[in-house]
Amino acid sequence: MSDEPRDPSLDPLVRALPTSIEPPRDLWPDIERRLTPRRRGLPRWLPLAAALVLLLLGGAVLRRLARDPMPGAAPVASVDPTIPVDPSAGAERALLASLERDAGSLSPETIATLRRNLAIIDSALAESRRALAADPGNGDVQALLRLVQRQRTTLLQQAARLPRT
Amino acid sequence: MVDDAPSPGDDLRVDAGQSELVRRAQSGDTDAFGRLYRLHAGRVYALCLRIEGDAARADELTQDVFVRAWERLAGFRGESAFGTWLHRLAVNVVLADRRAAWRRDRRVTLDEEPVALASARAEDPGLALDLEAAIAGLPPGARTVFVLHDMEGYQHAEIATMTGIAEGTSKAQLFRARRLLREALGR
Repeated sequence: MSDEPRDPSLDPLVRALPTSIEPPRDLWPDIERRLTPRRRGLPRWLPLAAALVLLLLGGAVLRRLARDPMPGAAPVASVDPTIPVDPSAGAERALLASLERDAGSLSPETIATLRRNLAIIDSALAESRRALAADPGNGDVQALLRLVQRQRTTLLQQAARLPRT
Repeated sequence: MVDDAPSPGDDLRVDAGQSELVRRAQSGDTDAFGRLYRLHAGRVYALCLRIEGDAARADELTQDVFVRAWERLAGFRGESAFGTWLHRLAVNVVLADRRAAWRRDRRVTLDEEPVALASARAEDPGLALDLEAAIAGLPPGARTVFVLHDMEGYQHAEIATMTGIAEGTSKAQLFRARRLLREALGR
């Protein structure tokens, strides 16, 4: 709302003016050339990066546990069978099944570490798949997705090699 | 005009459609942003043209507005309609350009004495076109205040904040602008 009375002699003319005037030429091509490519899905990389960092830390913990298993650890936990696995990854399915079978012979700390890392990496995988669905041509996200998938396999392989109690 | 008036349902559909375009543009989809440009270019260009009074400059500023909008789109949270957000951004871009122009050319300031306008009636047949021409012929300061106040609905306090002039100056410029326009239009 305006804070001053309208000018009665001008107001009808002002109101009759169009609110929109099309530019005399199409400006879009020039505008499009000036648009800096937005780094699509960049925020989605953050959980990926965080997952990788945690994964490396988790891997280090698993390696330490493999070298120096906790003495007398009671096997109380198991690998969560609800954790989603890439259905195309048969090797991963076999590794996970093997871990479930042997879960009772792993220490609770090891199982907890494994579950935590699998949850993180599966969340990162889901996030990266969503990013890729929104931007299928993004090579960086594709590379990250492959890297995370490889890390998942590596993690399961390391877990399968852990000494059983 | 009445027949063309959109129903509330139409508004909702338009808003929902634009929200989707905005969401896609925020994720980097330039095609979606191009469609937003098509929807809003006329409104932005009209604002630029009327404040600048120069078609070539309005052309450049319209481009600047949309480039700026693209750069800032991530910060748009949908708290207002996209069109409202874009319009405010356009006002800021145009006024920043005006301030830069005033700094470049000290001879033209918001406090300048207005000059008598040549009659616009002789140039264009329609009264609306007369008014457009007369507005374009106003001194920059008076034109800016007239467009913002009488056409865009801003209050003097808002204009003072946006342009950096005193509220009293804004009122004086509006008074001058109206007088010059009445003289030019013979009203």
